[in-house]
Amino acid sequence: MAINCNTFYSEAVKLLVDEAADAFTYMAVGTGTGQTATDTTLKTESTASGLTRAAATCSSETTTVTDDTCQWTHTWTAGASATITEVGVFNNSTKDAGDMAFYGELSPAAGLTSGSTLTITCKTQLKAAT
Amino acid sequence: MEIKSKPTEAQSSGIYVIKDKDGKIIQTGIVVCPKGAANGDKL
Repeated sequence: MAINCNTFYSEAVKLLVDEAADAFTYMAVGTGTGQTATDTTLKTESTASGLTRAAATCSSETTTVTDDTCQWTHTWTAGASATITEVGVFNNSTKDAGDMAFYGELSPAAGLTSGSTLTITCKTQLKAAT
Repeated sequence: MEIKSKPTEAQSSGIYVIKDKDGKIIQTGIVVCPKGAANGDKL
């Protein structure tokens, strides 16, 4: 499980009623931990070579009801060794800018060496509460 | 009669895979909530 941030709800509602809003189409990784639903940034967003914020491959997927799940995925290629501990989904291409839809910590932390790739897939399913 | 709709729940999850330069999987893991954070928040 991961966190759905508050701005996920506000931007989603605005998109549903055709108010000005930005779709969540970017992913970023970082080296911090401990963000909460009220945050709009990672704790320590990565600026390391190959590990910066990037456009995600976005799609609607089916978990229970047809197309009830948002899916974001991206593959980063590390330019040097790094340990990645957090991931977020954003609606802006610039580091530490925009709104954050999704936040989670990697378990275990992702240990990367130069040239290795890190592929993260994040999903959020909208459904009737049980 | 009062009619209430069920709340909507947004439930998130994630996975990751690390591959070496040759494409061999060297580590996998999951995306989790920070310790003490809520998940499955309701709209």
